[in-house]
Amino acid sequence: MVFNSLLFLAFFAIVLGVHSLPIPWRARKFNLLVASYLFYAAWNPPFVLLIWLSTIVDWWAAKWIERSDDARRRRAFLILSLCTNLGLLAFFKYGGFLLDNFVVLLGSLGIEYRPASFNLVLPVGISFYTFQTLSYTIDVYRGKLRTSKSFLDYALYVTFFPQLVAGPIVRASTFLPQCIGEKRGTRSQIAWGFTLLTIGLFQKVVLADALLAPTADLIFANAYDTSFQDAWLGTLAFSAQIFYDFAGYSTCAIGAAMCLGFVLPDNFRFPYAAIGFSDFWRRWHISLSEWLRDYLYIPLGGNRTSAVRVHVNLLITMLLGGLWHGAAWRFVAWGGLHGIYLIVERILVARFSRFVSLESTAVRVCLALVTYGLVCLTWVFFRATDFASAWAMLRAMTIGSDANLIVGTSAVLSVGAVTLFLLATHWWLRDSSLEQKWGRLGLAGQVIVLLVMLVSLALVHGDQRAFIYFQF
Amino acid sequence: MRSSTSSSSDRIPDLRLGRVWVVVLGLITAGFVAWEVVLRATGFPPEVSPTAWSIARARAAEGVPVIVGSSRIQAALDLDAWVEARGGPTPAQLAMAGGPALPMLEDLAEDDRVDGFVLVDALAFHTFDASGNSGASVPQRMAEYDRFERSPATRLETFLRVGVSSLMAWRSPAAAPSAVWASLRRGEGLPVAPQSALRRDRFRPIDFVSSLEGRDWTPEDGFMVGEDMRFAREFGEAATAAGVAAIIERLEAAAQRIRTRGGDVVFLTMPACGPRLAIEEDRYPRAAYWDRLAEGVSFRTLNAADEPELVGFSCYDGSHLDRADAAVFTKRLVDLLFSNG
Repeated sequence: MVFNSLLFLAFFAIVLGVHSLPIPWRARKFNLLVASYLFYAAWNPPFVLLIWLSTIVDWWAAKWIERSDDARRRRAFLILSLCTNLGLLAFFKYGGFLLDNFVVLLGSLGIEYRPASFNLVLPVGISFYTFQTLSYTIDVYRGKLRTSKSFLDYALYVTFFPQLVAGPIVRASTFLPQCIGEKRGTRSQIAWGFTLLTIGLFQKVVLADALLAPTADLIFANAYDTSFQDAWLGTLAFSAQIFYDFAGYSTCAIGAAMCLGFVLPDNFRFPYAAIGFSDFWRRWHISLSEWLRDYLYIPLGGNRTSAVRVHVNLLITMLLGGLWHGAAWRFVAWGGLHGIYLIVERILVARFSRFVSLESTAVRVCLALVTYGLVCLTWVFFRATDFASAWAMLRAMTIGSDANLIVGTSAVLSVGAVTLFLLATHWWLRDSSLEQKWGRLGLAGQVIVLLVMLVSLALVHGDQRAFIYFQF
Repeated sequence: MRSSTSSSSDRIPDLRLGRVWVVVLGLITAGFVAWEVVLRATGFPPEVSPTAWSIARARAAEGVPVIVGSSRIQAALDLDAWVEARGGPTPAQLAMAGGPALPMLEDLAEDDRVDGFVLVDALAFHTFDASGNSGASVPQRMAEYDRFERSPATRLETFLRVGVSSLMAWRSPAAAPSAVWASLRRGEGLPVAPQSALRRDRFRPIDFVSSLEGRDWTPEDGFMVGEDMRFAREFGEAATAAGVAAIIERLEAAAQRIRTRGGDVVFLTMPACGPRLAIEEDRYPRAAYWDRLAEGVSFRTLNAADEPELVGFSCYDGSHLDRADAAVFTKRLVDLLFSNG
């Protein structure tokens, strides 16, 4: 089930209605849990079993870790959790990729091997909920978290439908305490929650799907025969599309949770106004960045080691972060490019920061635009279907090509307008908050903005596209 | 860093959004009700979402009569009249604009649950089109049906979308903002109400009579002249003799699979007239296409031109029947199919 569907509207109305009934808190949590399983099962019922497996294994692994004083036993249970969750990921998400690369490796050694085809359906959201349950067990192992006393609370933490399939990746320490006290959305939360749902849906349905996706799809489908202008237009279109698609999902998730009285962490903070790449990763997919930082980068040694080792740690983290997004080398390349950006930035900052003042708005704008431009380049690997087409796009973007233009003026205008709107709003909101700016709009301004978004949502005719991050 | 895009702080500032939402919902409701009233007053009917094909396809697997083919049979068969004449369940109307029969028939043949009566509109210029121009939307509809079958959520969503679109004229593509904007830019005011709209049962009645009101029209006065070039392009490339044989073989094989499950298939070609018929005859001569099909399949074939009961209807655009004739045509066809067959 996706947020941009009539089915979700009906489903959410029922869930919210039951959640608002004067029934015991435990019954309301049970309602949310059942609703969450239905939400997931609506896509592919058998894969609910995988969530149950992950939930049960981590519930018991964490309990046993907490109860045991024996370091080896504790480590064994941690390994059980890691193997279960990463095993699920490896099998369902990376199975085909690993097999393909194994065949290539054997081929390079002169051994011909033709395995049976490995066509598994990727369970939607598996990368998100496995990371979530893993963080619970690891935090318990590290002594940073007490295990939950209620299986119902824990199962709801793993399965909570607003963020189940595409994040934000919520930590148990953030969610579980919210299950203890009785919760129901206040009037302010419900009103703001629906406002966020509207903003999220507008980002997804109108900006990403209706205005940007057709141009990005057309140009990337013709990557081998793309002109300089089209290549840039397609890349800019996709850069904006991926933001509005994913941030739209996160905003909907946070808004839906808020209507139910739950608070989820932010996942985006106007990333295209970032000044530098460290800043970018503090603003883009924050819950994943923080997960990788806490459970991968810091255990590798983080910043508290030699400069070379810090660079290696950064690169490993970003390469694996890239691989998390998809089982293909182009995602690894995307992560690798970001790793290189971060390393180069560290070197430049160490050597030249005293010569550059970030107080000047002009300098900040220039650095933000450079960051944006370089981030856009990485999206080519993310969106292209393979390396060859990614190179073809990059070639057209740098040395140009004599291909004819394939998109019309209206596409240029819509992508240009949305990109300008995106950059302007990100810069405008960069050091502020949405609530703050929203509050300053006044009654008339708020009514107009909501009207524009809702009318656009109602009138947009088009395919109902899934969110891009569902595939991860 | 402060919370921003989604602002999940549980200390939500009191933005007094309650009254904002009351105003917004009031305005939205009033606006859309007014827009609906204006559209209905100017003759806009609600038009069912194209995803209704999935619902019809699912019904095809329930043993009801099935109709496949192009817009001609979709516009000509009034399914209420079919039920009145024949009794039993409403047929599953799978025909679609530009739809060649072959991929649809093969899809039905693949499905073991399809074991009833299948009426195939085997229009030559779609069936024997070698250019791939015909049936551009068939793969999309089939992909939608695949998701409809596999995902309970998609199934429910389709029913909801079809239900909503069958009630609201403002959801019609003809009333979409782009259509309204284009019409306003041309200085024509609101767009003209569409000549036809897909009904919930996928019958697409076409109202030629109203749109020709006040015009001194005869089929020979060149009504189709402006359309001829577009129509000629639609034809694409006709299959070669070998290609025709291969297509007939595939039609026969698919129909045989349905027959082995207890079903029956009838191949039909719908009436045409005027300049359009002349173009069809020129590009797809009957002897080289339809007659070969009739000889090459072991199933009943019906050419409307040979059946006195099925000729003589007003043929406004040379290709489709008017909605006023659909019920009569349907009853006559049902009689022909089930009384004489």
